[in-house]
Amino acid sequence: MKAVQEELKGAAWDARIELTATETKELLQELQNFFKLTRQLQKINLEKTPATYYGSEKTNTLREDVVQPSLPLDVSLVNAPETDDSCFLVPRIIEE
Amino acid sequence: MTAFEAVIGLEVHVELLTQTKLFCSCSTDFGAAPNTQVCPICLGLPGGNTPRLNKKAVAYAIKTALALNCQVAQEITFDRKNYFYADLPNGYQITQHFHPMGKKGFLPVNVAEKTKNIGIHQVHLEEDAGKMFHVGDILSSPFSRVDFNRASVPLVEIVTEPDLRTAEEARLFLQKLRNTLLYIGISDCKMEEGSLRCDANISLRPLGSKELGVKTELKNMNSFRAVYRGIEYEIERQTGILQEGGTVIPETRHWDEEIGATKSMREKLSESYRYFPDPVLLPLKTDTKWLEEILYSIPELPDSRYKRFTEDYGLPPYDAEVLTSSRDLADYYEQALQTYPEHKNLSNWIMSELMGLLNANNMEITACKVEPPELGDLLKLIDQGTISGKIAKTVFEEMFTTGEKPEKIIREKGLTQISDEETLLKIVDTVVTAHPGSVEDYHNGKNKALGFLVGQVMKETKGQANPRLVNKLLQKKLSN
Amino acid sequence: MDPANLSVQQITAKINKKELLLTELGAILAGRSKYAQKKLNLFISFDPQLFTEQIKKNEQSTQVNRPPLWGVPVAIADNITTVDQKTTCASRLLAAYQPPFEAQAVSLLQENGALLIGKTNLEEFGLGCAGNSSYFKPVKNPWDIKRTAGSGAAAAVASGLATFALASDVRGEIRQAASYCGVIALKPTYGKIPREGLIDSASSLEQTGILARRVSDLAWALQVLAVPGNNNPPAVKRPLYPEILGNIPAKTRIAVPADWDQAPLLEEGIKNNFREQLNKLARVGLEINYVTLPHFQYASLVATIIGAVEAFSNLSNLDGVRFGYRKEGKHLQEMYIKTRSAGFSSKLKKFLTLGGLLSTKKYYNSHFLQGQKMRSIIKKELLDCLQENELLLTPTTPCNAILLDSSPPAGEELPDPAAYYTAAANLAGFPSLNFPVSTNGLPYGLQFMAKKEDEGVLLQIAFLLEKEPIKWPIFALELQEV
Repeated sequence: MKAVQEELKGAAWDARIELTATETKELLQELQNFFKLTRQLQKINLEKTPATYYGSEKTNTLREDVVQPSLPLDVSLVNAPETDDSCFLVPRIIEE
Repeated sequence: MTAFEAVIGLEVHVELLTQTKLFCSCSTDFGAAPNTQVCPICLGLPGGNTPRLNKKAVAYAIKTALALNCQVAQEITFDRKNYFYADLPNGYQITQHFHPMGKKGFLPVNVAEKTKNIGIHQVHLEEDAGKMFHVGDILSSPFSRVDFNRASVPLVEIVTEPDLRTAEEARLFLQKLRNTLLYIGISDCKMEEGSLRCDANISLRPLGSKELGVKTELKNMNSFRAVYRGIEYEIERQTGILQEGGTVIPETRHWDEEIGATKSMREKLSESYRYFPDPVLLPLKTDTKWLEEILYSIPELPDSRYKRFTEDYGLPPYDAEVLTSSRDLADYYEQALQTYPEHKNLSNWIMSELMGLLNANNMEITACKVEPPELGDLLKLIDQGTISGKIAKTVFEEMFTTGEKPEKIIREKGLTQISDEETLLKIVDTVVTAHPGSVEDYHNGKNKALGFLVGQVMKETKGQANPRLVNKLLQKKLSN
Repeated sequence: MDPANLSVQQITAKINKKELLLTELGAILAGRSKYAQKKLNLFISFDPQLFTEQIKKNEQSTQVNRPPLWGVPVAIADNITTVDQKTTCASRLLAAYQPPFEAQAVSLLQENGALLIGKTNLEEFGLGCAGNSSYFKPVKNPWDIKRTAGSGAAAAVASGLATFALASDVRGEIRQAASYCGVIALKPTYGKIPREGLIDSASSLEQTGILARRVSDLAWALQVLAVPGNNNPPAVKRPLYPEILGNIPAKTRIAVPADWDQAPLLEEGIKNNFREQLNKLARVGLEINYVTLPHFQYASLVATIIGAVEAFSNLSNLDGVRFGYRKEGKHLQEMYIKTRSAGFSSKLKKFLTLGGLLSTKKYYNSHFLQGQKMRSIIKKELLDCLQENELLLTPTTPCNAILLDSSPPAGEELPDPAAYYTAAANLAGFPSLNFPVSTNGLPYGLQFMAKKEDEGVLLQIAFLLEKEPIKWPIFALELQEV
């Protein structure tokens, strides 16, 4: 589980989440049963089975290339935590 | 000392010339006020996860794949590339990771008078990210501003095989690629506006070795010159490291145009990208009829046109190369041929007079006011002796500025060539009388004197006299 | 008769005959909602003034041909966008979020005359029913306030505050909540109700569904909502649902997995009651066939794998840049981490981390891809079964509504045992319906599943079982006194 703990740390960072010590402990606990079941799942030979990625068997549809109105600027910006008069503002990019 | 060979692959991003974005109906117009071309879909708002695929963007991507001799995918699918960045609204970019639109293509490039096929690894359709503006430079900026107008604008990415060996080859490939894409009309390919962007993967290996060395990824090359200089610099830098027994660090480097060097980006986090099929965008079968329609919409490409210009029109390779370097220029030439089928003569005029004026005015051929048939008409007037070649240049300048027809300019300015013998004889008489010295020189065998006298007649007629006739009349007069 | 217990058709008829004034109905519902909110915490947004304005608008309308949902009070789960009220997904990250556009399903309801009573509480982003992740605290069950309701939508319908409600179903949430609260719920075929405006956490599994206390009300709602969306090709020709309810095929075959009683945590009371229900069905002449579905047992696990990876990606837009809550950081990445760590519940943080883990190179093939392949197998097994039988029947949940402060805390398990029976329909995109029955003095449900576009058969079986009206929870009776 030590290795999994390290992997979780990486996965949490990739999700831009920091788990507390308690949360990590709980998740490791919950994963024990989960991995027991996925090990069973892996034993089933599905080499020749295609994957189903979608909820529907229908095919995608295409849209004509015709412009429709966009949102007004004030509406686009209204929900943002920080803006100036035309742009969204984010903290500095460089970390040091 | 070991000799090294560079192995170069390019990743070229091209913005498609569609009216709307890839998955929503927001406009793609360049230069609109920030965040005025966004909607819940391209702004990644909660509940806006309902992408609607742009038919034209798909057609353009297929067209690109076909023009680059690729195998086209039978089913169009999209995948998500998941990562966090401030210019990426959804936290993922929709791209074609598992099944690109086109695979295994090639583009022939003329390198040192030989044709080399550069392999196209894949062509795929994806969405662009927004734009960030930093306060001052990125390193010291306390915060950044984000504009999402560009977010989800359709891009085609063209990835080459690592078939290029020099900076010059890379430059020639990129020019050929740009030319081809302009021919098929899928993009305006403006590097300065960012509608064509080029990254390069560069590694070195000992000459003769088959193994690939450690590569660096070179970004931020914003012109053809920058692509050439950046790659040249990077090859030199890596050669230096290897010859001193060092090792190249695999990293992303930025080309700095001002200092003329590449710089490490010192990116702190190494992002592990995740790709998986987009669960919202259902697959789409490419039906044969539509593919055929797209195939037929591809015009004659530069290589085949070049061949026709040299073989059918008998143009020298240089002329054919210049004229087919742009589809618009080649179209112009061929339209003018309709009224004036003198291949080489027309080519000369276009390459010297027309292109000279275009360059001097920093104009594109598409903005030229002279219609191709009118250029043909003008050249016909020279051949018929209505105007002299010299006058024709003046007339052409006038046509270029005003867009008037040549006949009208000639008529209004009274520029018609004087070919009437009686009129000219009178002037010849006057000139001969006025320059006895020159007449004597001529009689003493100084042939240059004849040229002087012809010049005087031309001057008297403001250049309108038919020079051949003046020559004939003068000789006749002087031999009397 | 209690005006809050009228069917869709009764409301319209009484309004037309001027036997019922909308203002009168509105006043009753507003009063009861206020009381219920205090007791059950079922709404996130409930604005009596907005509700009154809608009623006024309807009353003043001179429309001659009134649409079918005229004056019908409906509740909307708070992960479906509305322009008049905020849409929070019960997350701190969206606690103040005001969408600039309305979900297509909500527009359809309003165009058809429905009145939006409020936005209902739910688990954060509609994931699960355990009552452990809403930023606005859990919803209490109207049958027993010490237990979870599963969702505010189910509690609102069970309490008679809304004739029907819209909520989403990722791994069975609306059916589970309906099972816990004793109401009917339908998760239609994938894509049947337009997706536009549903804030989905797992796009390939999730579907908007309907909860109601009467089959005919559910049929009317489906009639209005089952239209092709912008991105959906036209669905197959649909029947007139409200008109076919009584026409159940004479020989309706019902499949039951032979090992239905092997679910982990299946309660004894439910086990016994389900057996009795099977006998009852056989007695009314339905054919019960025991079938083998060897891979059905993996459905909840597979839906957890797929759901976690899709949620990891779908919820990446919650980054504190364009909308929602932000917790400042020294630089961009720190802002992301702080915002998301403080913005999501512990439960969702763990789930997104799981999604991150399962989509890394190391786990992709062995878990995510293997899961998507198992999904094909499960779907095929269900389809084969539903070619031979009109319906597949199981319990909806293995237990009654769980206690909110149980120890150790329930609902944290991976995979969620509550989704044991429900997740398969999400994997396959098939329609599935909960019909309420009861045991131990608490409700649970029978879950029927049909093949795609066969919502008609699901409504017909429910209609057949609906001979006697569905029981009211004690709380609803208490409310009628308000």
